Parts: sequence; structure tokens; C-alpha cells
Amino acid sequence: MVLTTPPSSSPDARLTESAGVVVLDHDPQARAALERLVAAAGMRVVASSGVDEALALIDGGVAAAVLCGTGDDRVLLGALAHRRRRMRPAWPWPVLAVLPQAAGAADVEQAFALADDCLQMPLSATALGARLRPFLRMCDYATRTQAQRTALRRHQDEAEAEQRIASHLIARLERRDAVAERLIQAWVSPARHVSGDVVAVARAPDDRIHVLLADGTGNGLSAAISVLPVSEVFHRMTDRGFDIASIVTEMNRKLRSCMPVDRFVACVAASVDMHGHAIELWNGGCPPVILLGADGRVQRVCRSRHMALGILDSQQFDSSVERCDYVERSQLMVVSDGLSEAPGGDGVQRFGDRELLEAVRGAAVHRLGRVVSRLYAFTGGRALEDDASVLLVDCRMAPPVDAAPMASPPAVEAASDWSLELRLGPSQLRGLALVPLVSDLVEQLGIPRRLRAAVFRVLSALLVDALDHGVLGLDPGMADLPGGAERFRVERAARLSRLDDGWLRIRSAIEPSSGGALLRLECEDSGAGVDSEAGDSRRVPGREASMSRRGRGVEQVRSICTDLSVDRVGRRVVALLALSDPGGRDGSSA
Amino acid sequence: MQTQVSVINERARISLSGRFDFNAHRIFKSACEPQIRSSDISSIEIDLGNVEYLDSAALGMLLLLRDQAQGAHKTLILTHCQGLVKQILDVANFRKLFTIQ
Repeated sequence: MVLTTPPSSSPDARLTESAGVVVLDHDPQARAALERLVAAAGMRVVASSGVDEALALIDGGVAAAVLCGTGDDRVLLGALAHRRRRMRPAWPWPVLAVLPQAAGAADVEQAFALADDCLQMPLSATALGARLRPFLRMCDYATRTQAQRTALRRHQDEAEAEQRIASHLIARLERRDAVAERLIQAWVSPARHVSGDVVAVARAPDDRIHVLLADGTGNGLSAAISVLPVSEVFHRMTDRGFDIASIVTEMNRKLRSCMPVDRFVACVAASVDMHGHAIELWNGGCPPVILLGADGRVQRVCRSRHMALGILDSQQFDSSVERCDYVERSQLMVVSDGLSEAPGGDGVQRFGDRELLEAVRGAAVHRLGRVVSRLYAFTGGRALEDDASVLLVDCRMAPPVDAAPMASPPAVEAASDWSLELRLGPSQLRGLALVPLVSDLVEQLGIPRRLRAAVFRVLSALLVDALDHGVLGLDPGMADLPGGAERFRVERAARLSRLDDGWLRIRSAIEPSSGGALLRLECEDSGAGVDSEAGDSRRVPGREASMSRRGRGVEQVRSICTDLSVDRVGRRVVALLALSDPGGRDGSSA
Repeated sequence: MQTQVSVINERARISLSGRFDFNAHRIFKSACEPQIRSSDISSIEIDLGNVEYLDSAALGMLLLLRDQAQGAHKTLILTHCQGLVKQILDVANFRKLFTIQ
């Protein structure tokens, strides 16, 4: 089909290399003459048998222009013009009419009505080339633009498909907990279609509320991918009752193992204990987290004390958390750097702490709206350069209760035909995570869901206490001294790692009683206990001798037990919980 | 962002100016790679004195450079960090990994 492709290195020739010219004429001899002229002008000739084939060649991108000899009539030219109009071409390919030498002014005028340009015989190759080249250049440009547009559209379609998948994955990983969600207000503004900031909330088995703000490197899809493992670990480990230190350690390990060196996730993970009115918080690479009082004044600022997740290996990683107590109607505020570093209308000033603290001052109601409004006023409504997010967490004095109506009384009788005894030796105590063990036990024993939080709290308090103060022999008063919490953590880890003796026994069963079934939880350890006859140097005035060896955890769960007793030497604790009383005595559990 | 590279003795100083963000990836890489490869260079200084802003992608580039410098047994220091740049490096706790002057 291609007749000639004259070699040339001129810019015009390069421009027209891809653009062939179709020659049409009823008269084969005249057509051959025109084809020779086109070839002589340095252009590629594309042979065609008629209008249909010419249009197919144009449509297929083989040719970019039609040179149509009119001879004595303009039937061919008319048919071509008609078909071109109906085709609605994607780009404006030209038709050039070649009129015979004898054509008059009227013929030229009529030809111009059907073609984009007219030439008249005799015609030189130079003249033909000079007339054709501007059209071909235009066609070449239009073709390239169209190709770029197509590539862009394909790229856009692919990006949208990827974003849909990412959004779907994120949504699937984001488990919803209506009770926990009532405690937070969040605003996430993606700089692109998909946000690299993720905000999540989840409820631990003991009613602690865990919140997360994770900010992946950069923004868009790549940032969103970075935060996926973080979100998954957060929900999975919170569900099983792990604490914040354990959760961020696992997040870091996972990111470090699967992400490139230059990818990391700045993160705030916090736990709000609404029984103890205390917050545990880990801030790695995020702007300061602020605890606000009821009037919006700053109660506490928790600055970033750690590097972001995914940078340090497990040996270097520091999971230590910051702890603080809170008072009634406090609110925890977490923001990402996309908010604090948002540029103002002048492009120089940054939103920063000053603007943020101005916005949050005053009552908690509409606080989030005030922050967002102030941000937009500051930026002058310009699109944000980075993903930005704000998370506000209500720190209440009691955990929220499931609003869903209680189902019929749980089938305690069906679940009562069991007893359990478990003895853990040094190797289990060194390697076993007690909290998830408790979580799994509570779930597997068929404890009704509404009682699980109370059972989890009591059992984990008994186990942790028996391990820390019984088997490991740590002084319960150590953590209360200045800097004691950190010393306690370090000493605990050291003693646990070299533990080669000792045991811990758990017994549990259902006990019938006149007031309804009771769950008996018993925990005994191999610790030294206390000599209640001789007194104990660590004895706390006003507390019975056996209790002076116990940590605060056991005391804190006493109120939700029907009965809690410690044996004379403080090595065995027995807790009884009423299965028929969903809230325990303080009615605080969900 | 613009870069300027100067070498004194065995120390390469890469001075950055403007916004150090994701868009600077190529120019930062092209400035750093020859210094990492060069056997005449034992120390690389990233001068951030004229950087107006850096984002998390820029922090990632610094981490990557640190990794490459360690692999090539070269020291890496960040200098003239001030204002917003210093704040951002402080929040990221980069002092724990980098020598910052």
C-alpha cells in the first residue's frame, strides 16, 4: 500500500513521516501523476481504490490528508466532503482539491465549498509540498495531541481504578464500632483523591477507647498504601486487648519489614481509659497532641518524642508511652502536619499552633467546625498541599454503653458446664502475651458479650498483678515514684527476660448462688507473698497485709466484682463476678 | 528546588534552596548520587540554610540518602537548619538518626 517513503532528515520530513497522503482520482493516469508529485514533494503516498478505502485509511491513522483530483466533475470530491461531514472526525484531516488547468473561477469557488484548499494544474512538486505541509503539520500536531489526550485519559482511568481499590481496601480494614465512634469527631481532607491520613477508633475488650491518626509519607495512593498495615494492626490488636506500646511496636515491625527506606508513617496512637480517667499516648513524628479542658484551654501538650513508624528496627524502636490523667469534659485533639503546616494566603505563614489554639478556645460544641473554618480562612480557600486531618476525642468519666437493646438473658446455663485450670511456667511467662491470652479465654469460654469487658478487666488485672508483683517480685510502690513508671518498665522487662523459675495458675468456673450464677476467677502465683504475722516493709497503712503486695490494678477492679478476696499471704486472689448483673456493682461495664 | 554542589577536601557540600518536597526527587538524587559513588568523597553535607519548607517526602529522601551513605561508608550531616525546617526535623526527631549542626 505504501508506495514511497523518500529518505530525508529535514524537520518537515520528520514531521510528515507518520502522515501519509491518499490520492483519489477517477482517472487512473491522473491519479498516478498526482501520486508521483506527492512522492516528489517528499511525502508518503498511500494508495486507495476509492472514497471508502480512503476514509478507512484516514480513520486507521495510516493517512493524514486526501488529495482529490476533480477532473471534469466534482462527484468524487462531493462524496468525500459529504462522508467527512458525517464521520465527525476526531481530528481535522484536510481534503485538498486538484482542479484541471481549464477550471474557471466558478469551479474554484465550488471546489472551495467542498475542500479545505484548492490547487490547479499544472502543479510542481515544490508548490504541492508547500501547500500540503502546513496541513500535515497541523494534522501531525492534532494527532499527537489526541494521542496524549488518550494516554492521559488511560492514565486517569487507571489512577481512578487504583484509587477505587485503595478506598475499598481502606474501608474494609476500617472496622466500625458505633459506640466508640460516638466519642470522636474527625475531619480528613485529602490533597488528592485518596488520603494518606487515616483516622481510626476502636474499643478494647476492657472498654478502653483506642484512637489512631496515621500519616503516610507524601500523599495520595502511595501514602494510603503505607498506612494500610498500620490500620490493620491497630484494629486487630485493639480487638485482642493489647496496649498501645505493644500495638505501635507491631506496627513499626510490620512497616519496617515491608516498606522501602524512604517510606514511613507518622502516627499518634492513644488509649483513653474511662474507668481510670487516664490517657496513654505514643506520638511519633506528628504535631503536638493537646489535651483540652472544657473551656478549650490547654491542659497538657504531648510532643512527638519518637521517630515515625517504619524507620527504626525493633532493637532501636522505643514504644514508651506518655501517661496523663484527665478531668471531666476534657477532649484530646490530634492533628496531622498537613493541617499545622498548611500555608496561608501569602504562601509563607503556616497555620501552626497559634491559629489552632485560637480556634479551639471556648466550648467543645462546634469545636471541629471552628478549626476547619479557621483553616480555610487562613489559607484563603486555596487547596491544601498535603492531606490534613483533625481528630477530637471526648474523654468521658465512664465508658459509653451499647445503645442496642439487650438480647434475651444470656444462656449462662448452657455455658456453665465447664471449669478451667491453666498453669504457666517460666518459658510460657517469658514468651506469652498475657493480655491476648485473657482476651481469647474470655471469648472462647462463652462469656456473654455484655460481660466480657468486666471479665477481661478483672482477669487481666489479676494476671498482670500476679506476674509483676508475685512472680517477678516488683515493688508496687515503684511506679508511683518520680520517674518510677519508666524504671518499673525497664526492670520488669529485665526480670522477665531472665525468669527461669516460678509459675502462675489460673482457675475459673461457674458457681451457682442464690442470687444467680457467679463466675469464679482465681489466680495464684509462686511469689514470696508477705508474712502477715511479721508485717511487711512495703505495707501500705490502712490496707490489709495480704493486699499490700498487690498493685493498683487489683484494687481498681474490686468495685466491679461481687467479691474479691486475697489469701493471707497475698499469693492467691479470688474474684467473683455476677453473670446476671451486666454492670457489676458500679454498673460501668458495657 | 535548586542545588549547588561544592567539594572541599573530601567533603561534598550540597546546598539546597527553595521548597524541598516530592517534586525535588530527581534533582536531589542527581546531586547526591555522584557524591555517594565518588571514592574521593568521605563526607556529605546537606546544607538546608536556604530551604523554605520540606515535606515528609523530603524526609524520606534524607533517610534514603543516609542509608546509601552508610552503605558507602560516608558520613552525612545536615547543616544550617533553622525556622520551619528545624521545627519539622525536631517533630520528626531526626536528631536521633542524623548529625544536625
